[in-house]
Amino acid sequence: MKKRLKIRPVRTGVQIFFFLLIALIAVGHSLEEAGITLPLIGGASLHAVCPFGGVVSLYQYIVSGTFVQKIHDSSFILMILVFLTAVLFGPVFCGWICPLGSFQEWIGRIGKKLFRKKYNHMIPGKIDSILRYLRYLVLIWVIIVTAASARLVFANYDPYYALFNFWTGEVAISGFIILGLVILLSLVVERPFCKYACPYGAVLGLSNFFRVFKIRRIPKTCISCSACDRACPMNIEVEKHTTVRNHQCIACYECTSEAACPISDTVILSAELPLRESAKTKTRTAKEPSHAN
Amino acid sequence: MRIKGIAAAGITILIILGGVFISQLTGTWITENARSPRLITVGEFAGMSDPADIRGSHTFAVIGESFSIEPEIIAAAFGLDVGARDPGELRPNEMELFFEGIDESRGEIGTDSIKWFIALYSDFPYIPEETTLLPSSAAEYLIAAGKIDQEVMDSLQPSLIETELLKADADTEADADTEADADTDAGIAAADTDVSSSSTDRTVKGNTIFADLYTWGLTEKEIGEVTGEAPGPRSAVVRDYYTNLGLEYGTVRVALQKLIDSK
Ligand code: SF4
Repeated sequence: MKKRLKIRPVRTGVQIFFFLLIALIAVGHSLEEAGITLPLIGGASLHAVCPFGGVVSLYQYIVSGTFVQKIHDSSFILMILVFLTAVLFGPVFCGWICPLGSFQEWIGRIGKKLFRKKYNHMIPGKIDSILRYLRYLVLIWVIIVTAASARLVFANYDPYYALFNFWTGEVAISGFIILGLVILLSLVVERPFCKYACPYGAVLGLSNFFRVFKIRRIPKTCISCSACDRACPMNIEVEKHTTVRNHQCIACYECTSEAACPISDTVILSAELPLRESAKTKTRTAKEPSHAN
Repeated sequence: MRIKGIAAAGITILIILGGVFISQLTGTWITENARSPRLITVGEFAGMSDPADIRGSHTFAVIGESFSIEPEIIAAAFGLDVGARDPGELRPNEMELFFEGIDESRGEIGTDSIKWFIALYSDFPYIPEETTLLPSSAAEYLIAAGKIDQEVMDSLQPSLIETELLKADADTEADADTEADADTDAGIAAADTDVSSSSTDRTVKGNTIFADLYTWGLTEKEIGEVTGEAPGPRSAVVRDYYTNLGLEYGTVRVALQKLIDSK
């Protein structure tokens, strides 16, 4: 078996890099207001480097050609770039870059130590699957209140904003409360905010239905060990599908043969079913209906 | 076609960071509002910089250049002893720090005070926030320089506050804070009118929403006529809505207030 470069350490490294980058930008913004400019980092605000700012500004931009307060061209550019990457590879932004997602994962490591196998499996399946759609309601609410008020109302409830601005005095008490809840929940559920409340995750999650490169499981070589299922932070049952099209996938690639799957070339990222597999599927579809997700 | 997960993540990061880099090179990576107040493009004041668009982050040098006033004059008018510091480096958002000791219930000297001072200096109609105060020294400078007359001076009285020379040197910020405390105590004692007494229920303020305007008897059509733009949603904040449309809020506010007062 070929020696594989494990995804986990690389992903952690990337997550730490972006977490520190965003923390530096937040500090840089505070220093800029005090008249000190950090070299390379400058004084951009967190809003200016948040691609979701572009999403919530879209309505106003289309209607009046202006941005919502505190949103600038940079948010729009990031929004377009992140959309482009999501169309290609899925919500890699969520799985590898978003500092709030990383933060929840790191808290979750404590939860894993505390609750072991029970961790991330404590919410009953039925309730959990309903709650997973809550983030679309949050998304609709955010878009409506932002369009009506021309203000970033969500900043008052955004744990990401609270996390990187706690020292500024600009964070609403509601932001702190939600951040506290996210921290506590992260001890029992992996990425609770991503799963149940993140409006940007809701937007990017939709890319799982049409992304070019999808997570595919090759049944022919699969030994049904469920390693992929256990590795998935979003509780997606990879083993039950040949193609993952779940709206909750964050493209962390932890389920793939580069990480959890012990068999080479079995859980892969591909633009189409590999030749031998598609040939097999074709033969099968002639006889029986496909069971692809 | 297959791709490794690590490669996919690498390409993603490359697209995002590369995209940011390219947009920086092409000048489209804009993370803040303009570095100087925007120019007014229509009406009586067309071609002039807009005092209402002065930001807390603009330096006195930029403000001075936009409104033809020396940074030293702005600093002196606000009673700031800059010491070794270049007055052109001062920013409006530092005012709150310098005048930190002012009783919050009375008002504050901050970015809006600078906007108001510059508007008075430029003879530009501007209605400040109801809690905005001006140092007496600023008003004295304006009248001495012939920028305002006695009538305007009298109207400013409720919003003036006595301040002594404040140290605005970066190295002596702590001293400045202490002095500001002492100075503003004196100022409050000297002020004999409550600044908030000028406000009424039917006053267009920074937090007024369109629903308030309708409650005060204005119609959509009237608002559209005086502002030149259709009104926003009922829950939208008037100031933010028109500022986002690129209108000068001071002008809009004056026009709306006139209309309300005429009812
Ligand atoms: S399905 Fe795979 S790539 Fe998607 S979230 Fe789960 S582990 Fe990550």
